[in-house]
Amino acid sequence: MKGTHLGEFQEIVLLTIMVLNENAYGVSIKREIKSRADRAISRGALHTALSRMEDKGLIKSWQGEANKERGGMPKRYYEVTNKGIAALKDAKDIRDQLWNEVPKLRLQHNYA
Amino acid sequence: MYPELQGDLLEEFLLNVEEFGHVKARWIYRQEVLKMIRPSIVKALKKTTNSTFFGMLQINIKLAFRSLLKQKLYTAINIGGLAMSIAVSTLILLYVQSETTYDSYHPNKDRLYRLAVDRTYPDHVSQYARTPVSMAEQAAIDFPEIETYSKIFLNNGGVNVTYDNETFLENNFIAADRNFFEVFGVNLINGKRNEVFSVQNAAILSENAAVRYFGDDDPIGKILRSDLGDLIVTGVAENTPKNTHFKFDVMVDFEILDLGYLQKPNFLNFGVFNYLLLKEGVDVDVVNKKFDQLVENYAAGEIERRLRMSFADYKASGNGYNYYLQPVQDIHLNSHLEGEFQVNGNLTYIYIFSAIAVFIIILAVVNFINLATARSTERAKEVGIRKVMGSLKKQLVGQFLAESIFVTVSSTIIGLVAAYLLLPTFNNFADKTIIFQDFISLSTLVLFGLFAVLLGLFAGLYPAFFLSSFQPVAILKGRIIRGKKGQWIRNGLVVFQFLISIVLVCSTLIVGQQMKYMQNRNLGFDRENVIVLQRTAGIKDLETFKTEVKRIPGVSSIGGSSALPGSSELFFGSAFQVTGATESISLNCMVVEDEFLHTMNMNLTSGRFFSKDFEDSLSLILNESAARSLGIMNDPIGQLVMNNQDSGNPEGDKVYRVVGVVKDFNYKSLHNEITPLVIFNNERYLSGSLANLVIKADIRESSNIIRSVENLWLAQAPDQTLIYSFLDQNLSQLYATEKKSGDLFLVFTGIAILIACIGLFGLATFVIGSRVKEIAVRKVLGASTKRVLILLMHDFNRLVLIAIILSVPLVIWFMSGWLEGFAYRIQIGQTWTSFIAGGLIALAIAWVTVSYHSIKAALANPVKNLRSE
Repeated sequence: MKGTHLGEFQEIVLLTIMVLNENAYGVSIKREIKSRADRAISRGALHTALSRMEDKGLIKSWQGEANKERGGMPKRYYEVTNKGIAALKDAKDIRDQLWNEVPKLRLQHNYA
Repeated sequence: MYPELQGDLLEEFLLNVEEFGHVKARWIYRQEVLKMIRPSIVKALKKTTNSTFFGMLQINIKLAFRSLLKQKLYTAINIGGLAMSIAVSTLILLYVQSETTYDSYHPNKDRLYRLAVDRTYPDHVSQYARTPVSMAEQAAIDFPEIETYSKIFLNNGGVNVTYDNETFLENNFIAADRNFFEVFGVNLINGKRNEVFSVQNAAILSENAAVRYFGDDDPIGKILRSDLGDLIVTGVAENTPKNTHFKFDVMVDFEILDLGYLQKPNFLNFGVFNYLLLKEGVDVDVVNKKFDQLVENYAAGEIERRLRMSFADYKASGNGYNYYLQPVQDIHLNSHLEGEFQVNGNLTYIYIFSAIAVFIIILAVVNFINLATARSTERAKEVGIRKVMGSLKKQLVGQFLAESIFVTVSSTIIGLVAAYLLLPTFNNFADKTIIFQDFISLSTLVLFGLFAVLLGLFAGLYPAFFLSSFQPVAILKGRIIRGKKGQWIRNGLVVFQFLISIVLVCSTLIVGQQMKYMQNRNLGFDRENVIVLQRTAGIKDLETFKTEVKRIPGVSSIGGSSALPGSSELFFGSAFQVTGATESISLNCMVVEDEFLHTMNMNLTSGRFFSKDFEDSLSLILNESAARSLGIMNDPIGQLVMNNQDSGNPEGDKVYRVVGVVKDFNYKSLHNEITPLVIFNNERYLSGSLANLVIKADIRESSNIIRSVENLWLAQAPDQTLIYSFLDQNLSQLYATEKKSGDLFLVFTGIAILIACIGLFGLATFVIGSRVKEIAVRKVLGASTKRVLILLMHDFNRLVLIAIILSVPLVIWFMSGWLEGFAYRIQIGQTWTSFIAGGLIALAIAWVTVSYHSIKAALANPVKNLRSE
């Protein structure tokens, strides 16, 4: 399991990539996160997270076509690998498990 | 930057322009770009570029390492010498730092001052650290500049303190004003600041003392028995820091002390340490100027009452009080008054040691330069080849600099480690408790790193340019590098090194001469074979004790006195007036028993000693200075002298007859002139104050004698600590600072010489190496080995001789300044033996160092050196 632990930010980025499906590249990921989580992240921070996850093999990327709108610069598209999906699932399982085991008592106590 | 990142930024920018407008979009863009500066992106940047600078640096370091490994002896000498000098300099730095940070722990250290006085007498001036009780108090009332004051009283000779049948003699027993903990930077560990003095007989212990008496028990509320009565422990204070001009183990309230006249409000008796805290922004000089008025207002009346003469007359006859304030942080290094808490440090030594530290570093750098140029013959070929292969001069300079920086950095590291390892020994030696960790911080390490690199640049600069300026064609053709050009630099450096070494050697020898002079000087009394017992006032039946001590085999006589030579604070002052004279003068006094003067073997110039055969209660013995001061030098015996009523004589005016004049003897340290002294007999005067007994005894029997004395003491005074010492040791204690500094001097001298020798060794390698062919030719033509040897030595002799000649005025200038600190000293003219010895030592060392190369060269088979041309 070592090396596949996901940070909270990484988890969000991974999920966002999956949500965006075919259209996951820098700007779209950033905007999606902004609109869904109301979280303003810098492109630099995003790049760090993306390149780290790529190093770990959680995502893969390819260079897209050159685009005039972007001053002739290509886009880089991202896709979650199977390993990435497995890591996401692990993370989710752990959370679900923990949620299930949170004693009901505490909730009752809080409401009492 | 990655193209996709640029693209993303641009795309986002365009979107933002639509959403927020141009201005905000630009602002966001800028922020985004700034936030891009992060390792994952920048690192990627570096991969794409290729810096020749870093590449070359790597290669240079590798080359430096290789060439250093190739010449192991040379490298060892270089790094070893430099590391040694850095280690020594670091130790000196630590020492200087610890000496100069005394008393920096007080909260208002910049405003805290101690009152001191220059007391002018008609024929001399005495400087006292202790001042009258009321001075600070009155000053705080009269001067608006003063915020508060605090007094400390130190009980000389200590106080016996007993708990649970265990008695300790507390030497650091002080009495202080109740605001002690507000004025001084000592913190209470146990007890509250405003409550510790709430009971009358409160005692505050230091941490050490608390542990000594009570171990792990809670000391608060415990009762200690002492010479001053029962004391209740109300607080425990942290130990006073090591670098403080006063320390305490037990502190009591100033008010509970019963010191008699010293403690009663007065303006004349120098009894306590007065500390004044000035208000912020006050100029000390303003306050200093006001003390004259204070003396005029308060002390004058007291003087007039006691002496029955007007203060104006008193001043006109040459008496005066000049009070002034000493910044508390300056006391340790600048204050050398009578009655200090402890022997203080000396600023001159701080300067000298700092200078030595700098010189030792310079010596090592000089060596480095010398050795590097000396090896130029060997490295010339390398340089030639490199140049032919296309090296630029700049690159060669870079390579040599890298080499020298490599050497200095590694030396610095080794030196620091060595200093760390040597510190315990050094602490022991210099009587310090310096902790290395206190000194090491990020900033000092950075400073040391910077220093190492700069040192490397500085030391490497000359050799680097010298070596890289060789003409490749000339070298490769096989022409020998004569290096005539750099000769004067190399010779100059060696002369400089020897100059410093010789100055140090001569100074050390002169310090030794002065120490020896002080040890052998006739002080006017016997210092050998004298055992001293202190605090004998606690013995119940002194007469019996004395008779019994006298019966111990080996003891020849025993006598009591109020004060001893070397303990200047025990001599008290009193005013005297020859009958018929109008003016009265203050003189130092002591009280002795009949046998004291005889036991100390003092010399009479006229009259007689006190004796059992006479009734001596109204007799006086003067020393020669006192007879001179009183103006009765010509016919002293039988003169009547009136002892005015004053602090030393509370009983009222009394007339004494002078029965004897004793030859001047050094009852203070040899730093001071002998001042007038009046000796009373104990038959009447203050008979209880004989605090000391001197025993003239056969020193070979000393252990037996002391054992017997101990038993007698135990029977007579069971709760008093027996303190015995040997007079000669007590006296040499007066010069402890000089002794210690002298020892340190010796060590530094040794190191300086060692480093100078390394330099000379290097020079010899070079000079003789370049004359190999010349020697061979000379030998072929019939020169004897001896002849060649003399020829080779001649050059070096010349350098050493120049150094010797230059060193003489320097040493004279230095050492006469040092000797001036002693009232009794050798004349600088008498030190010529030191100069000769110093010069000969330098020459001898030079010969030994050079002889290795010289003899090797002179003995070499000329064929070998001439064969390959």
